[in-house]
Parts: sequence; C-alpha cells; structure tokens
Amino acid sequence: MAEQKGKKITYVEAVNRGIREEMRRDKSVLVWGEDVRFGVFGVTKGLVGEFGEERVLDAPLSEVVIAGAAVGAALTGVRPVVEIMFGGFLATCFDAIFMKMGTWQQRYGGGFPMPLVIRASTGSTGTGTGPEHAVCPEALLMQAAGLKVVMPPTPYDAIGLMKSAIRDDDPVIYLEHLGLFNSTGIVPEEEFVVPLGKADIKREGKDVTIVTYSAMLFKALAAADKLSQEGISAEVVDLRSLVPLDEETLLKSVEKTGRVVIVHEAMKRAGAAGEIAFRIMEKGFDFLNGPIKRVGALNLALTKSAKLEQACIPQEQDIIKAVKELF
Amino acid sequence: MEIPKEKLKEMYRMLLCARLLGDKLFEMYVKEHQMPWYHEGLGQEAMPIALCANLRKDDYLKLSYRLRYCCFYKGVPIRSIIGYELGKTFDPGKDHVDADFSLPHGLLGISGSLGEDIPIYVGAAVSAKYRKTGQVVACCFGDGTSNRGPVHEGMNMAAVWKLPIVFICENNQYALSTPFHKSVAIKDISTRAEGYGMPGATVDGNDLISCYEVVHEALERARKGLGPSLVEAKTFRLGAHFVGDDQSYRPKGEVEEAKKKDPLARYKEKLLKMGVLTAEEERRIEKSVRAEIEDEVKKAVEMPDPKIETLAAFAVDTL
Repeated sequence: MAEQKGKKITYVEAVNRGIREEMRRDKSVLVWGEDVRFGVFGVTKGLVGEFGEERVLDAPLSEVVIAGAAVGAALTGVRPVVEIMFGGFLATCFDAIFMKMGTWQQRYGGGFPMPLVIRASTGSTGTGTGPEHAVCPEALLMQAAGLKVVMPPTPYDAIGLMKSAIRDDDPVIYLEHLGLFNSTGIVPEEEFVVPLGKADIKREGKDVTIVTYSAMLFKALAAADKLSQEGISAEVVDLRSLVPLDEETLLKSVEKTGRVVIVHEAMKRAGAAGEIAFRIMEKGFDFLNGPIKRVGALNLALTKSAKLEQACIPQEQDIIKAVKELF
Repeated sequence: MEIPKEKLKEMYRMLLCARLLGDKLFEMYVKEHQMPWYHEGLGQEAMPIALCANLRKDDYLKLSYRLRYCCFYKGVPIRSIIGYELGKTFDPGKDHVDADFSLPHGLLGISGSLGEDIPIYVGAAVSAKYRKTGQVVACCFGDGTSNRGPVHEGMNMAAVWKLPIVFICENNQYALSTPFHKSVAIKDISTRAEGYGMPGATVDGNDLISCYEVVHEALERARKGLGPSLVEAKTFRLGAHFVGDDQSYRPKGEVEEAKKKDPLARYKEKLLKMGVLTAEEERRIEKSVRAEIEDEVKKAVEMPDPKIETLAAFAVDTL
C-alpha cells in the first residue's frame, strides 16, 4: 500500500466522493434507492442538492424494483448506481441480481453494455448488528454469471473502485462495510481510479501470505504486526475485487512466501476462501510449503448479542493462530 | 375513434401472421423437434397485435412469453424468431438471433421467473423519462403472473414516479391448470389499478379493435407524461399450457365454446362487413403470409449453429 498524501476523509465521504465525481463527469449516472436523498448512512448525502431530484430518486420500499429497474435502465442508456441498504436485503431482489444482470447481458450475446452498480452495506459493526443486517453475501454473488464483485476496505479504495465500477460496462456489486463507515484514511485531492480486478499488497512480507478483503484487512494487518514481533514476516494481500480475481498478484505473493492463510468475515462453509484457495492450488501448487488455511465465521447465523456475534466472526488471534499452525 | 383503413388492413395481416406463425412454431416443436415445452399463444393474439400497432419503433416492449413471437410486428425478422427457438447462432456484438432479447427493436428480454421482468421494464421507463425521448414502455403479463410481488412493486413505483409505461394483463383464465377464480379473489384485475393510483380498464381481449382503442389511449397518456395505466384483456387460452399438458383439468366443452370467440375469425368477419377487406384480398393476404413464413422457416433452418468459441466473450473473470 503506497503512502498517500492528501486529505483525511471518512469511508462514507469517500464513497460519496466517488459517486459525486462520476455524476459530474457523466450525466447518464443516476442514483436511486430507499432514502437516498436523505442518505441514511451519509453515503448519498447532499447528492440531491447538487444533481437534483431528476438524478437522485427516492424509491418506495421495494428492493425488487430498485435492483430490477437498474437492469432496464442500464440497457437503455442510463448508468444507475442504486442502493440496497443492507447486504441481507439483497435476498429480496436476488432474481434481479443473480438471474438477470450478468445473465441477460450474456443472453444478448455479450454485445450490449449493462453499466450498473448495486451498492449494499455488509458485515458487522461489532455492536450486534443482527443476523439479517450483518450479512456477508459475497460468495453467493461470486456464483452469479457475469457479475463483478468489489469490497473496498479503505477510503482510497472506496473512491477509486466506485469510479471504476460506474465507468465499467458490466454490472458491478459494490459492497461497503458497515463497520468501516466512520474509519478514516488519507486520499489524494486530485482525481484517481482503482482498476477492477486489481489486488493491493497492503503490507509486504516474506514468510506467509494473508489474503483478505474488506474490513478483515485491518484485523489481518494487526495480526501481521503481532506476528512480526515473533519473527514471522506476513504479507497482507487485499483482494479489493473478488470478481475478477487478481490471480497474478496472489500467485506472485504465494511464490515468495509459500504459505497462505485466507481470511474473511463471511461464514467459512462455501465461503470465498474456498474458491480463492482452489485458484491458488490450480496454478501455484508447487509454490506451497503446506496446506492453505482459512479463517472465517462459524457456520451459524449472527446474533443480536454483540458478545455472541464477536464469538462467531474471526478475530485477530484467530488469524495469528492460523498463521502459526503453518510453521 | 376512427382507425385508418390501411391500419385496419395492416393489423389483419399481422393478426393472421401471428396465428400462422404460432401454428408453424407449434408444428415444428411437436412434430419435428419433439420438444414438449412449447407454450402456445393460440387465441390470444389480438392484444399483442393491437399493442404493436400502436408502438413506435423505439418504444420498449415486453410480450408475455406465450405470445413472444408476435414481436415480428415490432420489427424482429421472423427468421430470427424461429432461429432463436431452434437455438441458432448469434454473434457477440453483432446481429444476433434472439427474439426475446433485441435491443434494436426495443425488446429487453423476458424473464423465466414470471413477473421478475416487470421491474426491469419499469427501469426502461425511468430511463425514457429521464432522457426525455418520448419513448413509452408496454409490458404484458398473464393473470397468473399478476399475483407476483415484482408486478405489484413495479406498478406502485411506476405510479409514484409517474413513468411512461402501460401494464397489460392478458387474462387467459388459467395459470397452468389453476383457473383464474382460484388464484384471484376479484372479478377484474384492472380494478387493482386504483390501489396503485393509476387508471385501469378491462377490455374484450378477443376483439382487436377494442384492444386497439384502449391501449391507444393508455399509450398516449403515458407519452404525454401523465403516468402509467393498467389494461386487462379478457381472453382465453385455447391450447395447453405446454405441449405435453393433457388439460384434464378443463371442464368439458369449454374450449369448443371459447373457439366461437376466436379473435381472428371475429376480426376478419368485421373487416369484411365493414368493406375494408374483400374475400379475394383476404385470400391474397393469406397466400402471401404463408409464403413469407415458409421462406423465413427455410432461412432459419439454414442459419449456422452458434460457435463454442464465442462463449469466451461473455466471461468477466476466467472461463
């Protein structure tokens, strides 16, 4: 991760800036969702003031139409950036996301753009967000043909990936992390983009590769700090995009370290780690000095109790433990 | 309203073409390809034809899956409609043969899960309104589909956002084997319109001229920016749900009775009586339509099969 010079902003301000810059750049970018004029988490706050009600539309409580309409609008000359408030609510419009977006694009022979972005908040805040609001649905979305999936962890990545997602001609699911909304980072004042499908090495190391994305990045970095005190040099690879997956960066790191721990907040069973591990195996088996480890949530629903919730999702010490098992 | 004679004649040709193309597809499925999943549109052709007669080339249209072949009236070549059913080729980014999905003709696609396409066409209406192109959206679905959540949510949002869209429910009295009155507790689906805050009308779906007048008004209303409407066309499914369906759920004599209200026979009779059409002209039209369909079938069959290599163009990650 390159040291940034610039301004300190929050994650929420970053997502807002990404959308705002693209709305200024391209009049075909429209925003809709529930309460987007008000901006319930602050992400879309102020957009209506600058771009007007024609481009920032409050939708009724109808996720099916919010997501479905994005498909129809994207096919007919608009670039919608729509909000599904919580990742768990993606289940209510799963047909539009899973069966229509990428699938319909393919049914057109792949020749027509479907430039849309679905934003949703995922993950736990650490305060007992509950089983339907703290969902990490990325593995389900990775199974959908034709969808791109990105999960930015820092304000820098949030801006850069939002801009790329809006400019992309394929449907992109952009998953924000609830627990990161108030986190801050330094971002350049000048315009920049982060390409889709490009991982970022957030910490360099030589003994083990910790592969992660979204909020788990910060637990992985903290774990890497502790491990370094014990003489283990961990490299932390932030995938940023799950689809497309940056195999090149992953394999280069694994070639260097020979050891892999994959960390995500989502349930372990059939989680993204399974796919990532297999992709490493298929192309980088000879680089490995041992089995690939994965750290994920218990195969349970999260609870309203923050204590039980935190017991379900991976913590710094779980990552440290998994890494040490490889030595 | 006064419909120009030429329009009336054009619609006759199109209605006949719908009937004969439907028969042809049925024959090809059942006899030649032994595929039992074909959904016949027999007896329900009047509404889609009346609708297409009122649409601009750049308007957006979703036909119900049962009547999807009527898109020839929107400009899709008949050979493409047949070619699609036969799984023939399409080139990424180029001319493709996919009758459900033809953006150049305003067809955005038809959902396999019924009703899930309504929100998508609502999105096309959002786009048309924003781009101020005067385009409208027409969206057809059946009485069974009218009970799906996406249909309700789509109509509500269309009304709230005052979108240029017309919802057309083709009430053919059956959702597969379930009769209308067993799945809907009201007499007319169009009365739901009031609940969304849009005008609703029920029309004899087997009377082409009535269908024309009602959709004309609804589409004009949408084009003027006055918002959506819901039109219900009461019609009857003369065929099976799919070809392999034995229809043992039907009361005896029901189909025979319904055949007396066949929209094609009624329209022909009306035009002959009005003097718009002569018996000789009618024979000439039929001959010409039959020849056209035969020719298009030949061209469709000759189309190449898709190339497996084209699949790579669809991948967003590794294949």
